[in-house]
Amino acid sequence: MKFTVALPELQKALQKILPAIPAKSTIPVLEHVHVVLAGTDLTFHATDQEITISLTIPVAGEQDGEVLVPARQFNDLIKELGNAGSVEVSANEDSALISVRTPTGTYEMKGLDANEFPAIPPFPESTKADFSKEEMQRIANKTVFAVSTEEYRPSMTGVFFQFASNMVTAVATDGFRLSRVIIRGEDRFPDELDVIIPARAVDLLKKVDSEVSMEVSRTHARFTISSQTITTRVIDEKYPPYQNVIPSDNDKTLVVNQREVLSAIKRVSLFANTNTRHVRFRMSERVLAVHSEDEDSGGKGTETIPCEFSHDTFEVGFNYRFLEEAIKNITADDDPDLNVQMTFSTPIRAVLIKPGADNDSLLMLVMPVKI
Amino acid sequence: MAWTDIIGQDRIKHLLQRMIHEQRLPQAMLFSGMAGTGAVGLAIEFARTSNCIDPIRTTTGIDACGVCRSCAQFRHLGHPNLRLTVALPAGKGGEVESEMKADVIEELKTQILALAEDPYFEIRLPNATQIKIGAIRELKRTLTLSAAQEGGRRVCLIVHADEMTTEASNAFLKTLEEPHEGVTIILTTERPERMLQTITSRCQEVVVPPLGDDLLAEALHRCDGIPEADATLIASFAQGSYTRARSFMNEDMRGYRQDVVDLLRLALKGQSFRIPLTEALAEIAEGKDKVKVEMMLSLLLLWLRDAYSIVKTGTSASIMNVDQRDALEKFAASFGNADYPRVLRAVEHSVRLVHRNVNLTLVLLPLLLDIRRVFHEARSATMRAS
Repeated sequence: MKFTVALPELQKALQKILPAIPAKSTIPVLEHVHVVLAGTDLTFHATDQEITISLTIPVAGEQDGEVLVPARQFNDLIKELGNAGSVEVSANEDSALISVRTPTGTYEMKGLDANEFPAIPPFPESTKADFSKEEMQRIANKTVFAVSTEEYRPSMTGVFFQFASNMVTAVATDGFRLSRVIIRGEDRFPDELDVIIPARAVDLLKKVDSEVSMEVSRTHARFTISSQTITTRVIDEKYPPYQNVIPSDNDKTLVVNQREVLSAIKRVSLFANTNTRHVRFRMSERVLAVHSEDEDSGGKGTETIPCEFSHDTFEVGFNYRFLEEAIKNITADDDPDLNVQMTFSTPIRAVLIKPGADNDSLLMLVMPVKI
Repeated sequence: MAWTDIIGQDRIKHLLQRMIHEQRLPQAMLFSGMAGTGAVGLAIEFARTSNCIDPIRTTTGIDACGVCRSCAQFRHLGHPNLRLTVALPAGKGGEVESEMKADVIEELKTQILALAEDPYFEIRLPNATQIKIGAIRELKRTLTLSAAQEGGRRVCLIVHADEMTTEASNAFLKTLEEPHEGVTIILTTERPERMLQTITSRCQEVVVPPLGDDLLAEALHRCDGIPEADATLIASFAQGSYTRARSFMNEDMRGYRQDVVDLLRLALKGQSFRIPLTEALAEIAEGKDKVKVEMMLSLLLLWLRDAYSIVKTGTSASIMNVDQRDALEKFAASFGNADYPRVLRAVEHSVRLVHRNVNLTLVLLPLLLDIRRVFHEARSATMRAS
């Protein structure tokens, strides 16, 4: 294998595939990048056995071939070579010896036989869905925070993608809060498909820079972002019936400004008990009082902000961290005025949080705490 | 690695190959057998063959092709369908790879590579005595994911499963009971009695028996280049364990045997045996080398067994210490009517005592005096008769 490649392109490519290289592994092959040259296409594959990232860049190829290159060493070297000029990389497939030649230096490193690299999963009859860059970012950014980290509920450690009647519902929940994003897609989405994508893979989709095509096979999901693909194993479990916990009879509605309520929660929460993290919302028709009290230290704090509330008075308690993360999730693209609409029924039933502009594309749910 | 790299165990090889051949793969198996019988090697070979893309089927079994992509990935045990769980060093956290210390990872990596080369290599990290709940949780997490590669069988191998803590075992119960599709869990243990019954009852148990002496001797000769005579000698008291046999390879077996036979001669001497015998014993006991004494006693046992065999059969055709034929025949001729079973029992008993850390002089002196008594009684009886 032999090719010449411009340094900036190579550096960018390596940065994109590095997230799939495990920081530590007992399996040597995973610490390597699979490099394949076919004509002028240079393809990198990196995997940690759960997520595989592949990326193709154009190079001046001289001789086709494939080899496994020690990832960290190669990346560290390429990083140190500065960001101008090009390098010539050649490899002997039989001895797995890789040499990198720059105008001033030569480097050699020992790789591994390309056959030892895990096979890239094929997608023979996969189901396909197309997303715009903004749509995918929206799903990733607004769901992952609510994913569970408890291993005894494996299905909830991922984001649930549910395709039905030309729309996709992406849901994440950990049992205390839930976030649901709906994207309508006309003909771009499959008719019926349920799949749970591990949170780590969805996390990688937060930074996509072009439209994304998502394909799902029986065992894997693949996201193609221009020349890059992220392939992940899916969570092979049944997602809990999350619809059942979304209340439909919340009759009390509160509308507040996102910035005001967030900064009030932030200040007041400084005085909340650090274990229970309780804050209390006391609402009246025009005023919302955010209050916290720590009996152990004797500290307390209250903020009042203007609001619109549909009833006389109502009181409810929250874990401020869950509430803050949910409210923070509402951005200007949900509601240009940054208003937050919260609905309640009783102080112990689920609270729904939506953008003030009444659309159902984003919905969050937070369980209140008893105070 | 291949099936042929595992010594003997034809019955188990056949059983596992038939499972793969007939696609009747069990959800969970427990390989119980002492170290050096090849349990881990059998499990890995099972995984390799059941994942091979183009396995070679014969009338008697099935073997991995050794050249396909899956086999290439098994070369260094890096196949995503194989997951090894071993005891990890005690300490805070560090039961998941991403949290382990760099030196532990390096050590484990080296040992896994060694296991890939040698199915009898025993993975054992320093200060690692427990498989903790964190490791089992991580295993459970990976099992909830879909298969990394379609086709093939995912094999989760837990080495020394008896080292699972009670919490870890309990956390594992549900996984064993409700296994995932396409997954076989294999536990290996030397001490099945130390495992929770709730775990063992959920697994199909495969007893991996000790290896026969002839198989061991053959393997020592073939793989380790030990001369046949020495191999036979080593094999005979490796107690069916190839690992144990190999650990004896570097010991001076002939020297030890000479020492112990000299000791026996000394004990059987005429009147002036007391002081030289006590001195010789003091010298041996001073070294406090339990392993050496155990080995010497085992060698004595073999030697006496050979003598007994000559006495009983009248020929020296089936003896193990072939190079000692003359000495043995002479010995057998002198002590033809001695109570050999009693002597052999006494030596066996002493081996057990040494194993239990009894003071070496207190074991050896009574033993040799006992042997002296038996043989001298025999000799005087012969003399009286003649």
